[in-house]
Amino acid sequence: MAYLWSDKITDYYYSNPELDTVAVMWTDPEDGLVREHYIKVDETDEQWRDFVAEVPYDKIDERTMVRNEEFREQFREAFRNYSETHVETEYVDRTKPFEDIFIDFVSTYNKEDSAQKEQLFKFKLKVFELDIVKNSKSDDKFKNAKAFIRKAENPVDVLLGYMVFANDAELKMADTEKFEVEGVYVPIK
Amino acid sequence: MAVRIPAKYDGTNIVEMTTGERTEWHAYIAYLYAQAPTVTLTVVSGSGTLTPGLTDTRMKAGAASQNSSAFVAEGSTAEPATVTGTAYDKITGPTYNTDGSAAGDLGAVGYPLYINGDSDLQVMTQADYVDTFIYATLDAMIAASETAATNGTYTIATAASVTNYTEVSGAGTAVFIDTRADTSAYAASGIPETLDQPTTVTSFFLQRQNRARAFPSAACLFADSNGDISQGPLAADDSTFNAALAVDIKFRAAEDDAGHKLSYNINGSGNTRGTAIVDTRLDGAGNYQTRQVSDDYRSQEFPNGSAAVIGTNTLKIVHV
Repeated sequence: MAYLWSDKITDYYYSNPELDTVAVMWTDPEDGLVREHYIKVDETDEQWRDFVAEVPYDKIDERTMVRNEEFREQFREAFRNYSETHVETEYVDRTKPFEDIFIDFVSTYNKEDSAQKEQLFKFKLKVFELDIVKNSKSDDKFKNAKAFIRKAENPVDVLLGYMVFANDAELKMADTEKFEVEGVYVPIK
Repeated sequence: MAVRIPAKYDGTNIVEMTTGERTEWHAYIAYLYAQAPTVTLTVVSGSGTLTPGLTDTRMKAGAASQNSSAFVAEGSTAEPATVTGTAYDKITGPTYNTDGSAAGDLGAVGYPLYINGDSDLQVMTQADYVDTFIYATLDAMIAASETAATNGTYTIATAASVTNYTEVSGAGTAVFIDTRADTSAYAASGIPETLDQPTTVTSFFLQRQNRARAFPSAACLFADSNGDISQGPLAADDSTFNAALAVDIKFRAAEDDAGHKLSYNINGSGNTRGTAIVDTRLDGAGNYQTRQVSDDYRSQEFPNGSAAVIGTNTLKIVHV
């Protein structure tokens, strides 16, 4: 055994909107129970590197999206059931112009707001789904950019990370060991 | 001094040990260490010294609202709130047993043979022996990946019973218990529900590897004072050389002053051991429910959503 989860993984997914911790479910051969194991997303950590060598980032992203969609469907189902049994129903205001929604998200993002954190989480996953990101090379430049997006705490940083893939931007690292980013250089094209 | 590759007799020739065979020696030496570890962590009831302490949090229901003519709207019903539960500081250490001392020099022919650059057999010096057997084992012992070569060191698991490990408290005492609101315990028919209705999700246990002994498959070769070569014992703990291994691995683990002493910390430097310890909470905005009892209109918001990790702590092992 190298790790308790080695060769026994049954599921895995990011376990928070910050995408900084992965939950690994593994089946214990001793008792057949599925157990949880958590790994901090940390490129400098040996266990994390061993885990992504076995389960690539793309697979974790994919499984997280599927799992979140399952939860959303459960929520939608619960909402449908609720609306069928209640006369008064609240409707979401969808009349707000796109530009207002976008600028609100970017300029007034509040990382303490759980709804906005969920939006940021979905936004990151959308970026990871883009072909230009998904099919990027596996060199340090793009690996660091993906890590930067994962760790981003606001939508602007997510967009800056995306620029590395779309606009040949460069992450400037202040400390590679600790993954401290000094800034992002975006060339004018 | 340098790391040497011990020589062995393969049945036909004297050759260097393979990487796998040297790894078996590291595992054997780690086993010797595991018989009486000199760097220990213990589980205590509180005020443990391995910081930071960990606090369990969870969501609880908002207070119920009541009105005699209509339900209080969702926007005016109290939101679920965070409960700051038990603070856990149950790990103490690392504690160093410094009663030991280095094994004495085994002399000019006391250490194993290796094949030198001139293809001659040469006896390791004491410094070679320390580099080759003791420091190499201590290096293997701090790996994140847990094998027989990490015997005697600690890890965190979500099970109280793990093959090849001993639960440190001896009584199934978790070093952290992650609780969450038990959504199944809240029902509209029960409004006003008890606000805090937790359920245990995951318990985290401190485990020490206590794997059974496996002797190396390749024996070391030794010279004697007559210049003859003999093969060391393949299955014996009590040879002079093996006794020195047992003494030195315990001494260097706790008292080495050349950067190979073992240490543990939480969230500091080093390699992660076992699962990260996490505090999770439900992340929903509240499940608004109502109940009418004659002219008593009641509403309450229960915890809901999916579990999200709020805090992550990792046990690290490192050399100091």
